[in-house]
Amino acid sequence: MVTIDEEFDMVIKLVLIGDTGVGKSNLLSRYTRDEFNSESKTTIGVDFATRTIQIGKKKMKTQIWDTAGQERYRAMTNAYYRGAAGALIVFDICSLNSFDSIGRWLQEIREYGDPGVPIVLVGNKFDLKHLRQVPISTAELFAHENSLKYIETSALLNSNVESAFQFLITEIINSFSQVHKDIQECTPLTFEDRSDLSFRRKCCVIN
Amino acid sequence: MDLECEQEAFFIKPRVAKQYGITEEVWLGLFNTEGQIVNPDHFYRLVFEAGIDPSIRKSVWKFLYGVYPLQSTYRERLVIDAENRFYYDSIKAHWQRICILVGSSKHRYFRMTPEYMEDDNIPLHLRPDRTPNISPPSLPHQLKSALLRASSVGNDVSLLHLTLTPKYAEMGAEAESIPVLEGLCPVTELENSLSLQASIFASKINLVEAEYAKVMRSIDKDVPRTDRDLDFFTGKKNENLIKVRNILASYASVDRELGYVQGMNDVLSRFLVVAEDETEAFWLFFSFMKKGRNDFLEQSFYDKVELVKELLAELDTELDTYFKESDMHDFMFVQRWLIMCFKREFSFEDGLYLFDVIACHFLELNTDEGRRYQRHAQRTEFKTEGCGLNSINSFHCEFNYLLTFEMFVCCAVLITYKAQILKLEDIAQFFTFISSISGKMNVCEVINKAQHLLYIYCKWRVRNSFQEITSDWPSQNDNIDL
Repeated sequence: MVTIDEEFDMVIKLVLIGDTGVGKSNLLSRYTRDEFNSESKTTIGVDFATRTIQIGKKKMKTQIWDTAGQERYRAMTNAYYRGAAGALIVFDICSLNSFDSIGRWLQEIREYGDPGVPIVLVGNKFDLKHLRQVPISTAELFAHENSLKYIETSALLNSNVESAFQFLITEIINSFSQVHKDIQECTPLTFEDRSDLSFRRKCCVIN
Repeated sequence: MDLECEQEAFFIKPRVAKQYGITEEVWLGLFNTEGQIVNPDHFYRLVFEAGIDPSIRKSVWKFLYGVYPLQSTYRERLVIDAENRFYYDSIKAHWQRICILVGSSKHRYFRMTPEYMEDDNIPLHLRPDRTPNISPPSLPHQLKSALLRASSVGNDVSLLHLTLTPKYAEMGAEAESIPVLEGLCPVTELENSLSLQASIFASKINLVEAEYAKVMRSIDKDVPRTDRDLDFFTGKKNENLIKVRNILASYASVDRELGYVQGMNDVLSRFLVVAEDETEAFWLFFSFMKKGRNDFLEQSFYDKVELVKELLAELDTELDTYFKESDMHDFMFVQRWLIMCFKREFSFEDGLYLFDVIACHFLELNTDEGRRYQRHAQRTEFKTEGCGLNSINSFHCEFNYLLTFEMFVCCAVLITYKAQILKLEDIAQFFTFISSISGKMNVCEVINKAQHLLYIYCKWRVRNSFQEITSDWPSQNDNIDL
């Protein structure tokens, strides 16, 4: 979901999904608060954080939903895919199991998320390369076959975390811009000129 | 409907600050000479009202969670202790043997020394695994001498026959005749019998390799993230982490339907911090899970969430409408509250305090105390409406007995922050708000509120049923004697 509201040019909702223990919560805390905690607690249900970024002249608020990785209670967690403008599917490069689950996560987001939602595949824990189990080439091939972008990150070293989110946001903006043309035809608002927003409905939601 | 701020007389006085009224002296006073708790209701009332002194929490918990039946005697408890030792050791040895047999080269998480107990920087396959000494289970010296003393006094019943319910039956295994090994020394006799029983029980645990590998993987993901901010779990290669792993792996092997579900590590950690001893923590956790496991089963958990929703709808229409009209009608936020019994919403100690209050199930609709609340609500309503108390007997009012105290606690939190919540515009703001109050709530106020809400619930129920039928009643002005 891309929302335009009074305070921001855009509000976008992102979701972080992937197996348990791959580092989703730390990617989130690194991206939103520049924090890393190697002993962070298990996420139960969903967690949430925001960060405001500037892209060109546009001020954008990213709402990021961090979901629990375990298979249980998925009926509840799935609901959080709805309206997401993009997803990061995360695996741990030192865990083949977590990589093998990507297909399942992909299926889930495509089933419960909005159609055609941009997805970036993230191989996390790249600082532990001596323990690597998933070769870059394997991950890249998988990403290519499924038309996903692939990036390796280290939340610990703060390496590529920013880029991973930027990758995704750029994709979202690109796909949004295409839709946005149609939007402009029916509503006269532009990102820069916000004067007409005050008397409009608070949000313009584009799914 | 708004809740009126009614100044009803509480049956249980609202608490001002945390108190730890069950001191060692008070605690010992609850037992008769045989070591039985004579008045269970009084015990639960004390836990609810007075609070457990942390120095004796471990002893109290064994009764509170049912490791020991309240009516058990000193002697019976020694046998339970012995039984628990043998059974836990056998269960643990069983899965450990399977893991060693299959080998960590096949399933990475079948290692006896998990990654978090190793130095970093060495690839896993290059690290030698440590094979634990799986020695035949035996009793700690202290327990053995206590059993010897117990067997020499009161010889009317042999120790062997003190077993209340055979452990394997209690754990859901098929009943079979207990092998009795006659020995000269009653304690040796008991040890041999229990040891044999326990190993038979364990040998029947049928672990499916692939399924168990998945369980071990999940466990090993969560163990190193268990309450590492507590001194008890702090530091690299903390030995208490191995205890968490052993207990969870053992539990998952006896409860195969559930296996391991995230959040169980957090629940267990409380028991381990309090008990310290691995075997005792296992049995506390196991006993807790007899009821607590329902929260980890998806459907029964969803049912519970529905009950919270229904309760809130009765207690506060405005909040109910607010949630129904928002994206939060799934009440996802209560998941963490319920599964961990508010552990992450309070400091560790405050969390334990609330855990005790909830665990004693003293003030619930189906307990004696809860019924007193109901009766009082009925009488008050009858008095207000000016109807004869004679009609009370024929008056039927439906209470939902599935509602538990923790559900009232959930509503208490929401209602306490109602003014702020109603201003929140979307789910994102709501989640931000919920995280912001965690750690800042006053545990006593929350309990008081929950207690009060339970009474309000009773009153609403009475009032509603009352309105439906009062039209049929003749107006009377009996003397009402409360």
